[in-house]
Amino acid sequence: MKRRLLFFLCWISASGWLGGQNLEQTLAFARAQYEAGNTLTALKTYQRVLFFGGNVHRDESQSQLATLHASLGEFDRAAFYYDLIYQSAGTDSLRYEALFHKTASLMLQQQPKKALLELLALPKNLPEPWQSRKRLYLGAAHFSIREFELARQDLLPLFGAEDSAQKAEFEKLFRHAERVARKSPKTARLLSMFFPGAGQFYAGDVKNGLNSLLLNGLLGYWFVATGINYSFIDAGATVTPWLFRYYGGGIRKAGEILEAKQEERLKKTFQKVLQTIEVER
Amino acid sequence: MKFLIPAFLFFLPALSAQDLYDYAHSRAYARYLLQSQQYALAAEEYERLIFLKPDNDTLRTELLRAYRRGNTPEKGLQQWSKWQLESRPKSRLLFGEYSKLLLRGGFPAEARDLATQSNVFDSSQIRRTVLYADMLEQKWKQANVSLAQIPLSDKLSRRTDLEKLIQKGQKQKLKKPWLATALSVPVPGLGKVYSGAWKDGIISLLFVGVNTWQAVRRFDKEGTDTFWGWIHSGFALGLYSGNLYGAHKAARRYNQKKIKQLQHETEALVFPVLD
Amino acid sequence: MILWSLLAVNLTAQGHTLKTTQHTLQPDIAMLSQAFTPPAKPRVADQFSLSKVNTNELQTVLSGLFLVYKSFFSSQDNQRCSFHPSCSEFGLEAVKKLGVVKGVICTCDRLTRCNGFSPEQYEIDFKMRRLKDPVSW
Repeated sequence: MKRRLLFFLCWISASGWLGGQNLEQTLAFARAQYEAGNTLTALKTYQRVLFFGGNVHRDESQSQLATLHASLGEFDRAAFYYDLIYQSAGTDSLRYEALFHKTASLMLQQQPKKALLELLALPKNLPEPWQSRKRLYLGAAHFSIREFELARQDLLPLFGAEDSAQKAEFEKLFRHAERVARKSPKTARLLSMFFPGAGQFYAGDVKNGLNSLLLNGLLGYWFVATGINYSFIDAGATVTPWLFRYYGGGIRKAGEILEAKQEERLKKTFQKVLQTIEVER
Repeated sequence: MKFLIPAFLFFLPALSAQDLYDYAHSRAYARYLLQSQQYALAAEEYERLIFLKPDNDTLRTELLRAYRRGNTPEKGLQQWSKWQLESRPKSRLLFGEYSKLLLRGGFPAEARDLATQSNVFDSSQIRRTVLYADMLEQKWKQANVSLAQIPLSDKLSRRTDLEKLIQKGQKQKLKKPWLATALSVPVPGLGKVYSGAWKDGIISLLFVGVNTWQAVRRFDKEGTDTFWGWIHSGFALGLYSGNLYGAHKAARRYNQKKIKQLQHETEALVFPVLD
Repeated sequence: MILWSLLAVNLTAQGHTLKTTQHTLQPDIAMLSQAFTPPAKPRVADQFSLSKVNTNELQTVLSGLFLVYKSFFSSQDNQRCSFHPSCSEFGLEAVKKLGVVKGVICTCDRLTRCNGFSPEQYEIDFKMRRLKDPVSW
């Protein structure tokens, strides 16, 4: 009887093992789908693993879910999992990794202030390589909000103590950034007020400067011509509304163009800063 | 015996191994997805469950619910059309969910027919479905009658709100597009004023007026040999025709907006009480 | 996507977890470089694909005028049309879809309505941040 019972148990267990898909197999499938780039299938399968696995494979499921959501551009959902990992992960390194990923996704979404909030929640001193990564992200976030001196101090320790070509280049780029940021939209608007197009030239946009100059010149000519040929009342009635639109427009756009150009130049400058760090390391 | 015990121990881990895709696991997971409002995933899970147990009306009901709450009623309706339910006893739950799906999916008339003709629903269910269908079709008089037929003992949810909306619907007055155009013939912009766009009406009058005045002034001064005179006449003519057409369109836009607004209000009221 | 997979490789290199200790700043620098890429500026003609599809000479001329207006006048204007599509786009589309007579009448009506005084009449296009007013007869 005992023998038969054991036989039966063996049979049951063996059949359970052979048929169906258990947690490990599901995880393997999720991994395979991830490697194959089948994002949606991987996402669903990892969710299943997370649901049924509980704490088993939790770290992996959560981090993969975060990465997958981020790759789909669903940053809110990704941030949700990064936060979960940061709160519940077993090791510090995993927690920091999640935090840096969240920060990176915030930087990609052009939200440097939120990224800064995340970074400032970290302990002041971290073991390497976390400390260097923290410095890098802090520098980027500070640079984005135009705190150049803070950014410089964040990034400077990434270079060796001795003077190098890269370090010199780094300092030069920061001086350049300060110069770029110093130009003000107010000045651009004032310049365009006195001479149409001047603010655009000041911002470094020759095409729009010429455009504004030409357009306002033509409108001015039309005003004078109408005034002489008909009467200045006619000229006032017909040309002034247009002059108001395009002269006023030139002034407003000068400020906007300057801001856009500034942003573009600062971004390019920081890309070069990143290059110096890359070469240095 | 010597062999069997190690053999058993060898296979023991397999005993605890589970099939995460079997019926019981999937059922639990599907319910969790439905409750946590992940409707698209829930629907997918229920589709698989129905594949495992084709003749389960509870599963079907929950699948339709997942599609309805996930704002994809058309998918649920499509699935329904594939099921062969003629030979089966009619489940009140399933048919009830189907009628809700019809209401949600933009087929109120079909929902009404189903409720009144299929002999599955109880009387209070029929009365409610008919009321919702009337309201979604914006048949306000009929809706008023349907509402009166529902006794207070039926415990209709948000009854006073429904009542208010029906009254609002009955009071609704629409504009006549042809009248708007006719009004704009003598006075440019008047049709727009009638259609509720009085600011646009004033602008119309101003644009047409100024251009006509300018044209007349030029023709008076310079005779027919005037460039700006003709330009202004052209503008005046275009703007005048635009004004005739615009008055018609303004009346239509007014009506459309009113109907749509009421539609939104109805949906906002009716769709949540379906659950 | 490529960058994310780059990071993901880094994430999954050891046993499919975030556990890996990264000894290089390379992936972070690549990611940040992406974050600091200035947005691309599309050409005017690429922004308005309608101007590229012309079935006759009249349409070609109109599309040309439209592009000239968009690049040299609209870009300098202080005011901005409150609708989507904007008045100039509306005019081009109306003439192309409805023909010259209906298109011109439609556009004249639109020009009178483009005054910003009655936003309550229209639905809002949240993506474009403008009032919805598509071409229709």
